[in-house]
Amino acid sequence: MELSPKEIKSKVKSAIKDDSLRKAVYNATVSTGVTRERIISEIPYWEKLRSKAHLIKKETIDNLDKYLELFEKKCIENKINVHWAVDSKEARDIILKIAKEKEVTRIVKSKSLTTEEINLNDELVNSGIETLETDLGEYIIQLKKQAPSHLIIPALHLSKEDVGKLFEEKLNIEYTSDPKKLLKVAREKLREKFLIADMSVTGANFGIAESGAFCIIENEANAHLSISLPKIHVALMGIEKMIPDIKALPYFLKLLAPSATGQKSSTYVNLVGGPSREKYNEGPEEVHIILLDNGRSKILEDQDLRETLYCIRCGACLNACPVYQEIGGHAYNWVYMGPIGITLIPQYLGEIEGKHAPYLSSLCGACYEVCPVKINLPEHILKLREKVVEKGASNIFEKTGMKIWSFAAQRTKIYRFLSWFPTKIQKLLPNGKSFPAPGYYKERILPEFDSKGFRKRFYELERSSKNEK
Amino acid sequence: MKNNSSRNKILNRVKKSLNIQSTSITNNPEIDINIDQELKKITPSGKELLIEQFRDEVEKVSGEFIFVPTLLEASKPIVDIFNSEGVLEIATTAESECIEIAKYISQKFSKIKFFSTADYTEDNRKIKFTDINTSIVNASYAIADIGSVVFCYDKTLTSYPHFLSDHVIVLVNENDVVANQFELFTKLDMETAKNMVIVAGPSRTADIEKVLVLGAHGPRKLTVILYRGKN
Repeated sequence: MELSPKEIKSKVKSAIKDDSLRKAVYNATVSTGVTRERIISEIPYWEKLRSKAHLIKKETIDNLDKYLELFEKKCIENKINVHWAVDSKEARDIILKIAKEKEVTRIVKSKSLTTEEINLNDELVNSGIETLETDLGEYIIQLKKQAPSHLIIPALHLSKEDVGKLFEEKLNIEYTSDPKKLLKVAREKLREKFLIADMSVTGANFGIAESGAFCIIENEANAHLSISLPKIHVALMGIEKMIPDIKALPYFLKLLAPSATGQKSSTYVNLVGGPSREKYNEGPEEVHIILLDNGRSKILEDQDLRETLYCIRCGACLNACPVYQEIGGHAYNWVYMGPIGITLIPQYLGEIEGKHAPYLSSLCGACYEVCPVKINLPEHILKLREKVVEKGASNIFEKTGMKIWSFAAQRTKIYRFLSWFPTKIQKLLPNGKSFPAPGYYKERILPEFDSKGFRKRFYELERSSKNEK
Repeated sequence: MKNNSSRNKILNRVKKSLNIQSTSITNNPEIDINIDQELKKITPSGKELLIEQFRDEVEKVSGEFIFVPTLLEASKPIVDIFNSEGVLEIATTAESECIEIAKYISQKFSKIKFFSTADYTEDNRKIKFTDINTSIVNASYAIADIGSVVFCYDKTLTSYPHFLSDHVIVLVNENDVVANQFELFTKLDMETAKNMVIVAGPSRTADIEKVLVLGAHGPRKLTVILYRGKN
């Protein structure tokens, strides 16, 4: 994926101009936010849950080496094959190697952001392996040859009419925009594929160190069919997904579903603790888990930013973010988007490559308010902005602008003049015309300057409060 | 070995990074957080109220709830379902509760055929059970506050009837109803908790314009029949 500032700017601009996209994103995020609020109002200990989950994650991440070693040991005892992948390429190679050794020709996948992160599908398809996404949203965007635009609702940017047209074109069915009929078509097509697939690839929401098992949470049952029908199951999991033991799991189950989809509980919570064929005469003969680093160990280096590894990928911060609501997920041009995405992009890809990301935020703090594991995202976004500046990666306009501001801020008269001047210029502009400021278009008008200015207003207030006394 | 070197590389990097003490920015004064008191406050006291909560929550997740006094009396609503849906083939697990019900119904209605997973091995089980639209399974546990049923594979020995059928009928012994997931994971031993699934209602999706549609890739309908257990 291209991450040049030019590319990002053009994606943001076209997203802002796309009214149907903005409407779709806004409706979906706001309605999820409303159902989230309703559900958490029924959980009076919500804040304590958040704090507890934060502490569990802190304990696990601060001792990650020990938990990873324990998880590996227990997985091996459970006959799960454990692999370690330093980067995306190594993870793809491991999956491809397993597939080739077992002469796999058909793979079913259940929704996994980590497999998106390593760009797995292209590699498998280029190797001649039929690879099918089975989550409805992922299936839609795979047919559309697009990337997900939301962590939880991958096809959030598409209307039911878009999906109807897509199915008509790609699946040769009669056009319908009825979600029920569209789902029926997908279900029939995919059920057949589940039954004949040789291998499945899934993600994992949590790795339970003490049990050597992992947890996959879903609503559609596609993940369950993926882990119980093919003979080989490969799960790809970031190393940060550890939790210490099974008793820690309910805290996260209670937090994840309301935050992600506004449900009290997800429909399915699957726990996988080894190949089931030997024990139950069905399901996989082999289970593999790949522990992916891909930059995560580097994130640990920063004592503050380490907190971003607590993320449980619920997407609540996206739904609450006024920037995401306006531009949707594709404008970020990477697999992780929204407030958590903009903290991960420069950390995974480097401050230079991902320099644009921390600026896709209004710093309003809504993301922190809704984060189920209390990641202080606004603080981290600010810190990452600092890092971008320290690396000298800010652009020439920003550098010059800050120099001018710094010069003026140290000289009262100049500062007063510069604060007063735009209010006069603005009055000369035709009605409704936005003040010419970078980043402001006809869709986003700079509010009118206060002609009084801060100093006058402050003195007035001071005077009136004295008079009241 | 390449993978072994990757393992060591990752673990060494993690260890090196962890030498720096973390600072959690989040202001979190409660180090020892205990939610037991809060849970207690919102958990219904007494079995009857717990079951009432379970029923309400099952219905909230689009499941159907039926209460019967004994296990065998579950056969009546089950036969009603068969009659209304024109069902003649039923998938079951080999659990004693399912066998008992199947035996009882077969004696009265010879047209209805039961197929137990125990009679099928490996691949032919997969093929056979995907063709059967209705199944009867037994829940290892049920969770009141989220209206969910729990299937532990060490007890069910299969998950095909639970997922491949369109309509899943779940038998729940009232003694197996727990208040919440916290209680569940204190009851389960670590071995059992490794291979299991928690199910809240029929499968669903809202991936197209956030319109909720039941019956994604798994069951379209889930009926919970709760029966009085022997104390």
